[in-house]
Amino acid sequence: MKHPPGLTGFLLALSLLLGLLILSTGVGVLGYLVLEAYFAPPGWSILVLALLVLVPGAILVGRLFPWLTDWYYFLPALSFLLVFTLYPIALTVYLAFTDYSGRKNGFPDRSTETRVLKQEGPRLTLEEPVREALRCDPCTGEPVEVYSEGHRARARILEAEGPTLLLDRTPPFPVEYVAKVNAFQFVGLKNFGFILSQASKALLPVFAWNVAFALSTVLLNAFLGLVLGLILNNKALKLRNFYRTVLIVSWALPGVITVQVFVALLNYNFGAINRLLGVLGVYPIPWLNDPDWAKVAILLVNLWLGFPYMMTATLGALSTIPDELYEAAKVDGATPWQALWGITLPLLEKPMVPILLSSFAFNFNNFYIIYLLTGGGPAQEGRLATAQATDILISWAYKTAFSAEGQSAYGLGAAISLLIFAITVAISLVNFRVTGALREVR
Amino acid sequence: MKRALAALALGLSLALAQGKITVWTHFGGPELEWLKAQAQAYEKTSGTKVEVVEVPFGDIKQKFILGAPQGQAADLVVSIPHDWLGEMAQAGVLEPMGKYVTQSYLSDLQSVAVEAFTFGGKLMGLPAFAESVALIYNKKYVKEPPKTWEEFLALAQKLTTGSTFGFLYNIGDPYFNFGFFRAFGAENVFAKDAKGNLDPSKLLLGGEVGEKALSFIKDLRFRYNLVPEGVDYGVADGAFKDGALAMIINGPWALGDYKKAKIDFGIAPFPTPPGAKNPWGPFLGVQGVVVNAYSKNKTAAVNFAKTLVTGKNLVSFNQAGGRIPVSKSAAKTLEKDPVVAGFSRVFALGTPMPNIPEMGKVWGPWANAISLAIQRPDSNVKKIVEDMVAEIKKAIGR
Repeated sequence: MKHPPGLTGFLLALSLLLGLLILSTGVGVLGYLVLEAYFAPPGWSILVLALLVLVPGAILVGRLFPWLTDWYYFLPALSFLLVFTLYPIALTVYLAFTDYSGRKNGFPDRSTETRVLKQEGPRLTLEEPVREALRCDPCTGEPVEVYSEGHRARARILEAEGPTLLLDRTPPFPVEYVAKVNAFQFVGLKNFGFILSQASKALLPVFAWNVAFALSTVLLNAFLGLVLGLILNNKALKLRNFYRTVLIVSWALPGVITVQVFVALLNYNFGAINRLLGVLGVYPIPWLNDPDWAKVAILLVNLWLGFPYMMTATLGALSTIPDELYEAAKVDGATPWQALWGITLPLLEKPMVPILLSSFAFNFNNFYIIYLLTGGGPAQEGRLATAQATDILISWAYKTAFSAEGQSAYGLGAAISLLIFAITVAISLVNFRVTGALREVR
Repeated sequence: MKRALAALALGLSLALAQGKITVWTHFGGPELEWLKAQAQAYEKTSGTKVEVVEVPFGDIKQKFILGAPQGQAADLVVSIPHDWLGEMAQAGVLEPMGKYVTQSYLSDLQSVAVEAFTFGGKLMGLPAFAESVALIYNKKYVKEPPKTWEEFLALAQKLTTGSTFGFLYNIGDPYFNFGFFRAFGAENVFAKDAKGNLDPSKLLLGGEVGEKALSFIKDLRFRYNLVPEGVDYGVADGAFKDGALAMIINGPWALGDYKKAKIDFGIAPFPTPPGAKNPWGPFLGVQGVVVNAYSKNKTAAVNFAKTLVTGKNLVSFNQAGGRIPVSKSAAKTLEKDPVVAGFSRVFALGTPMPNIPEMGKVWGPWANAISLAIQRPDSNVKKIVEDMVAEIKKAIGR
């Protein structure tokens, strides 16, 4: 059989390979669970079992579709894609609809650990009344874990009275302890409802600043980068390689360190920048303490970090413009100014627009500059503690999931990141449509 | 292939049987050296290999909660503050310690330490040392610590000159500010219910208490002109280390550096703020050793944890870093130490920081309210407190 042509062939090959991988992983995990009932198998036995399915499976499929064997070179890449990209995405979508958190994590709550005094089949007698020991009310239907050294099993409580409880199954080993399981469950759209309920105090103002931040930082960086690029491209400029090297330094330094240094430089009373301004007779500026000045500070620091990239991109794009065009313009009597507006800028537009768009998408989720420079702060009246003056959507999500709401509210965090994903996709689509960037690139 | 696997499995199980435990710690400097020395001593006596891994303080809780059930966390952590206890215990990653310790061990501990490490009526870790903030003063500038607010203010303002500061502290952080809330009437963050457990539905930081405390903190900046804009932990701590600061609110963790900088310092309670009905009293934090409930080598981990918190070892730990042990016998040995004595007086005024998980929902809005209050001289403290209480209540009610 020959390779099916075009998209059909591609999709067929991809689904066969993915199917093979998923099947073997499934068999591996299932086999592990089966084995677990008899003894404690090591974690890598999943891998061994999966390989036991994958290798013969690959040979068999290769016999059925001989053209597929070339595609096997993709298997390592595909399995990495599955593990590190597709699985986290699927998990995020799944968690967004649950109340999964550090507390409700599906594991037993060891602070409810209670000793079992007597065991008759599924009926256990505890050393304390069930309701107080396991902190459940009502206890019926609560999932519990029963265990002893080397064994553990899950069960549900059917009924509880005083210190005795009836499980829905008989544990296959003598039980020493029982503990309640912190189960998490589907909550439907509750996470999204919670986010929207914060719309006026968090979502909307944060979104507005996020768009303003991404847009103005890209425009500022691009403007400075363009101007510097044009100046450095002038062959009459002496020492231009030296200037180019110097100007690129801020890009070469690790941003994490640069931002930390800026935090110290921008300090209101003790920072070098305000001291310098003081020498010049300017009142100290509350760079990081005032909601509006903090925004300016973020844009300026991001300009410092980002303009070399734009400058390099401009230089690269400029080198693709043939010199003949300028010579022809000169012959026709055009001034340098006219050459700039008539030749350079229009020809720069095509290579620069995709760069600007990707830079916008990057800055839209530029977590680290916000987190390191201001931590989202300073506080702003009428806003939540998780959505302060310079918080962008992603830092708001981080704070909501990891510092408020019981610290590790992964379900809520997943819901917010789904929302951010939707917003980023929508903005990118609009961008591409308006600028026609996709068409140009094709 | 199969043979190789069998050999591998055998090798692995042998390695396990020989025993090795991993310890996560946030200690640094001489305290880390102390821990490593303890680990080596334990290795010699028990034959169990102990690996000490440094993990940043801020990462420990989350890493441990996520990693423990997957077998990717340390066997024990040295040490965690007791306010993480509730969340970690409910996540099921802590081994209850009650079944491993003796009555005589427990009776040697200060009762407040046992209370701090008890969650849901069970001892979930072994308390090792306590900490709280206090007024630390540089004896070069302050001969006798101020007893009243008037003395304090006069002294602090006199010492605030172009080149020195009278009083600075990490003004934006609620942990450093709780003492003022307590002075203005908040017994703790939450009130206790009939059984003596903290009740998260009864928040004490709001209303008049919150308004008065926030106004006082605001006054420290704008009325008394003591703590200017831009002061954070690093600035205040650095100024004290440089000898340019007379008084600071800070805790025992900073003392090692102050000693190294050759600062002659003393420890005292902060004086009662003006108009407050109670004395100033800080959050009392207890740090202790916890054992991973999923540890493969629990016995060794528990035994090592127990050796760490014996009175004798806590004394040597104090000598390494200056932390204040919670063991009565250790405290007795160290009675003459001015730091231990100074902090013991401050501890008596404080109250344990809540160890229930709901506390995690208080810090953010609380810090937000404080930084709003000190942002502008005309900030509306009443509204700030109302917003804070509303946000905390909503988060806890969820």
